[in-house]
Amino acid sequence: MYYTLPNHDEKTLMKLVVHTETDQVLGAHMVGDHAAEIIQGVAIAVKMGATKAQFDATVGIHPSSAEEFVTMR
Amino acid sequence: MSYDYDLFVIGAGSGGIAAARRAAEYGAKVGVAESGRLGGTCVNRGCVPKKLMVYASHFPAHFSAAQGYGWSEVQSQLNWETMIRAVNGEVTRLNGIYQQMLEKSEVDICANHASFVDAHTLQVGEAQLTAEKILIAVGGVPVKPQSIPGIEHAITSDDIFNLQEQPQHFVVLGGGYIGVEFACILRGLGSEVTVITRADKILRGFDQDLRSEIQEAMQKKGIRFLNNTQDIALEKRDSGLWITVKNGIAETVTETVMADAVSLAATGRSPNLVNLGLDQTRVAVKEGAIAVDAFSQTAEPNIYAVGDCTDRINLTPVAINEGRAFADTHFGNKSRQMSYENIPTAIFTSPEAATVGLTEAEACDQYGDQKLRSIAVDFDRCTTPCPITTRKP
Ligand SMILES: Cc1cc2nc3c(=O)[nH]c(=O)nc-3n(C[C@H](O)[C@H](O)[C@H](O)COP(=O)(O)OP(=O)(O)OC[C@H]3O[C@@H](n4cnc5c(N)ncnc54)[C@H](O)[C@@H]3O)c2cc1C
Repeated sequence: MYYTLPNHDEKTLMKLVVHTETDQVLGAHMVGDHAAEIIQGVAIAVKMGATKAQFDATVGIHPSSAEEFVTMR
Repeated sequence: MSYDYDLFVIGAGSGGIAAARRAAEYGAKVGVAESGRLGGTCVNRGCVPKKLMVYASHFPAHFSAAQGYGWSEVQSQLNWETMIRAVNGEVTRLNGIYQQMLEKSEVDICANHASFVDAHTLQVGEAQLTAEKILIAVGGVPVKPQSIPGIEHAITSDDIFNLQEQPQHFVVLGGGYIGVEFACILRGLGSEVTVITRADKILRGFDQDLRSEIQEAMQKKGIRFLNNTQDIALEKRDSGLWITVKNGIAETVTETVMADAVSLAATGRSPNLVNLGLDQTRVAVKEGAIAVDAFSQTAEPNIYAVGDCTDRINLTPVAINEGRAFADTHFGNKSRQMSYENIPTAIFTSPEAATVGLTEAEACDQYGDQKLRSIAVDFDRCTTPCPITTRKP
């Protein structure tokens, strides 16, 4: 969002690797502003063995980039 | 037999300081030897000064973005020397803080190199000291591959924090996280940057999508990449440092890049075991690193090792956690092992990247691709993300 007004060509990538049977989130990867700050929190969930359904049941913080981690289809 | 110390730690870096303080807080009599500056690699020539330079490198992008929000054009020049002085000033301040923390925890600091005389005795400067348990936390040092002709002309990440002038043409050898971070720092500060890797892409070991995304983003910011290279050679000429590489795919193609006197060899690190006297003990060394079990115990029962010198996962928080697990186990009556699963880590490139858990490729190896689903959103400027990769089995 920050780059919209300046029209800077910056991309953000967020990626989850999920086990289809257990629904567990096995990995979370991000490229984009504040990735370190965002992944630290996600890491707690991954370490606890959280499922994709639990990610999805979490309400996002809007507007942010981080909220993508709980709204991915 | 009684010893001078319950615990003596060699190296006051991330792991050594964490273990020394924790053990002393449990009431152990602890000493630590440090031949350099307190805080080790992370504080003096790693994470901390690097991240400060990352911040410095972000300003031009903010200056230009500001106009999109109605600010007038920003005219600003970097004074390299001022930046380096500020960064080193912060490092010195942190050295002092570590000194105070160790003193407060009543850890004896010996500002000297330590080496083993036997399994319980150390030569520390002029003195000989004995300890019941000894923890090796000597960290690592950058290595330059001696197989590259002219490699002596390249600097390492250790030297970068003391450069008197900003390199105008900066060449990075190696696509590991340290190399690409410095490539982005120098590019952000205005230098021309080329990254030379042997692999087809930077950041081997990280998730493929993340690797591509970072490399493409760096390319867009004007960083040049020479991937798939072989037969690198450096030559010092009057005009600067010339770096020649062969294209590993079309072997007839040769490229030459010029750097002004400086080129960074970010080609790996290895444990710092020279003059440590390990041969006076039964400590085993495997592939250049101290061999330890899950409790960080070496083959000599009273000697332990943590951090980069064991070459497990070379990150500050890992060294700290290993050091604390060791202290908890032996001095705090809380036996525990460090957990190596799902260790998050960041790459402070521009754009920044971070990751936790398995890459898609690792997950495929472990579970088979039938059992996996990888969901990604890849968006640009727009507020509403435009998912471009949604892969399902
Ligand atoms: C450029 C760079 C950037 C980095 N960025 C990050 C990052 O962003 N995040 C991250 O988590 N990690 C980062 N790291 C890695 C991190 O710095 C190391 O993993 C960490 O410092 C390891 O801690 P350690 O305790 O094992 O060793 P060190 O911190 O290296 O400490 C070892 C200490 O032992 C001393 N010593 C060695 N031998 C002797 C001896 N015989 N007698 C007395 N003293 C001795 C050394 O002088 C040194 O002070 C980076 C490293 C580099 C080089």
